[in-house]
Amino acid sequence: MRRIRTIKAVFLKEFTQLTRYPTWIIQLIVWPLIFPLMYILSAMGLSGGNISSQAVKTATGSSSVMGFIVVGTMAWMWVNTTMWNFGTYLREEQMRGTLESNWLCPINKFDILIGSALFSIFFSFIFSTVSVLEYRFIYGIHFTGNILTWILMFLIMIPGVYGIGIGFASLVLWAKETNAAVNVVRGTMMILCGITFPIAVMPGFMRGLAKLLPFTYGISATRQVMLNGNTLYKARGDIFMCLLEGFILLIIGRMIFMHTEKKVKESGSLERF
Amino acid sequence: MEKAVEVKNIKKYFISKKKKFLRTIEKKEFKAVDDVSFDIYKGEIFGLLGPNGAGKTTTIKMITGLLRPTDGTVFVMGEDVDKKPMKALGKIGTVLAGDRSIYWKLSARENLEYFAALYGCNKKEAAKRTEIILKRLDLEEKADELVEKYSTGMKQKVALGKALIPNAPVVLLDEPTLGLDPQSAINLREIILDIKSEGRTVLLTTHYMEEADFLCDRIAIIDGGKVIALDTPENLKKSINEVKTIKIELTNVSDKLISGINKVEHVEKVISNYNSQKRNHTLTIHHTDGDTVMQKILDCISQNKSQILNVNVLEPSLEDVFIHLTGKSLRE
Repeated sequence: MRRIRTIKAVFLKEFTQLTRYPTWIIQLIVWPLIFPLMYILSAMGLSGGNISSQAVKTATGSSSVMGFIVVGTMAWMWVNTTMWNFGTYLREEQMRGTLESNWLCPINKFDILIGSALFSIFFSFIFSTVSVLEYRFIYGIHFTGNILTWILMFLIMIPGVYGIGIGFASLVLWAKETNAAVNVVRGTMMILCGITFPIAVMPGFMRGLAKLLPFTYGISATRQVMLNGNTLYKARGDIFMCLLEGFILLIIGRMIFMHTEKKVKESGSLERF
Repeated sequence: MEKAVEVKNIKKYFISKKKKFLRTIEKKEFKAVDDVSFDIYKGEIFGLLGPNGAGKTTTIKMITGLLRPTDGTVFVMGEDVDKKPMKALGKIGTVLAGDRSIYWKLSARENLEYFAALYGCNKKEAAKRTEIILKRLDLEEKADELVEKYSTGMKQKVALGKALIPNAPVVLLDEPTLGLDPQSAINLREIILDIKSEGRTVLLTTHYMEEADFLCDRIAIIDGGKVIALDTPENLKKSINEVKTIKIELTNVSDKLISGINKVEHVEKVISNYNSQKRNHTLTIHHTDGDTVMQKILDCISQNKSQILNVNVLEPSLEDVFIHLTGKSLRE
C-alpha cells in the first residue's frame, strides 16, 4: 500500500507540474503532424510523386507509403516520448535540486522511477491518441484492427522502453550528463528500427543490430496490425520477440540501477551535476 | 540520558584520481571524515559547527544514509542507518540544500502533501498534517500560491515544513538560516526552539556562531574531518577563559605587522580579516595578559603606519573558541 502511495504521489506531482507549463499542448498538437511530414515528402519527391502501389507493397508489405511512414513514426514517438521523459526524470530532479529530498524519504527509490514511468506512459498515451486522430482525419490514413489491439501494440514496447530508460536514469546518477548518450542512442535507434523504411534495405550487419532492439519488432507488429489488417495471431512472432528482448533489457536496467544506487551511496554524488 | 543519534567512529575516505589522457597517473586518499564519534541526546539541540570543507556535510550525509561510511556506524533512534535505512529514515525529518529542496512549480500545500505521501501518510492524514504545519509556519494565507512566487524566507519555511511533515523524533537542519534576512532568521530560530520544546531532537549545522550559541544545548566543533571539541557553548567558552580577545579595526595590515604582534609576549594568536564592504581590516588578537600587551600592540600598529578605526576588548565567543582551537577563523 505504501509503495502504491509513493507511486501515486510521484505521478500526481508530475502531472501537476506539467499543468503549470501550458505550452506542452502546442507540442502535443503540432509535433505529430510535422514529424512524419519530412519523410513523406522525401518519399514523394524521390519517387516523382507517383509511387507504384506494387513496388511499395513488395518492399514494405503495405500498399500505402504514407501509412507505412506514419505508423512507424507514431510508434517511434511513443517509444521516444516515454523513454526520454522517463530516462531523464532523475536528471531534471537533480538539476532542480529536489533529488536528494526524495532520496531522504523512507521509500524504495525504484518506486520514484515507477511513478515517473506511469506518468510518461500517460503523457505518451495522450500524444499517441492525438496522433491517431490527426493521421486519420488530416492525412486520411485508414487504420485497420480495433482500438484494443492498437493499445496492445503500444503496451508490448513498454518493457524495452523502461529497460533502456532505467539505464539512462542510472547514467544520470553516475555520469551526471545524458545529452550526448541520448542523442547517439536516439539517432542509432531511429535508423535501426526502420521507422520510415523497411529494414530489408539496410546492409546485413545493420539488420543484425536491428534485431537486437525490441522496438524493431514492436514497430513491425504495429504496422501489421494497424496497417496491413493482420490479426494478433499473425503478428505473434514480432510480438513475442519484442516482449522477450524488452524484458531482458528491463532486467539488465534494474540491475544497473541497483548497482548505480549503491555506487552513488559510496561516492555521495547524488546532488552533484 | 537517552540517545537519539549515535555516531560511532565514522570515517569517510575518498580516492581522488589525477588523470592524463584518460590514464590515471596518481591516486590520493582524502580523509573527509576521520574517526568521528558523538551522541545526540533526546530533546536537545545539537550543533555541528565548522568551516566549509570541515566534514560537516559529509557527516550529515552519513547520518541520513545518503553516504555510506568507509567505516563506523550511525544509529538513529536505535536503528542502524546502513542496515535498516528505511526504518532510520522514517525517524528523521531533514532539510538539506534549503529552498532548492522543494518544488517551486508546486504550492506550499502541494509540496507538503507530496512529501507527506512519501513518508507514508494517506490523503486525509497528509492534508491534516499539512494544514497544521502551514498554520504553524504562518504560511496559511499563501498556501496555495506557487512557491516560485515566495520570498527566500518563505521558501525556507516550506523546506522546514517538509522536515516537520513526518512528525519524526529527530529533525536535521543543514544551514537553515543561510541567505535569510535578519528578521526571517529570527523567526526561523523561534520555530527551531519550538521544535525542541515538543521534545524532539534537533541536529543543526551552521556557519553562524551567534546562532549556534543561541540555539544549541551542545556543540561539536569539527575541522579537518575530526571533532576537535564537544561541549555546551558555555563550557566551550569557559575553556578559553584565560584567553582574552582584542578586536582592532584598522586601515591597512601587512604580514610584517601580523608577525610583529605575534612576537609580543602573551599574544597567542592573530587573525586578520578584510572587510570588503567597509574596506578595512580587522585583527582578532588572543592573548593571556590584558595589562601589558595593549600598549605593545598599539606600538606595532603605529610603526606600521596603520590608522586605528576601532578597538574592542571582548569576552570569549564561540568564534574565539574556534580560532583558539584551529588557528583560523570560521569564515575563512
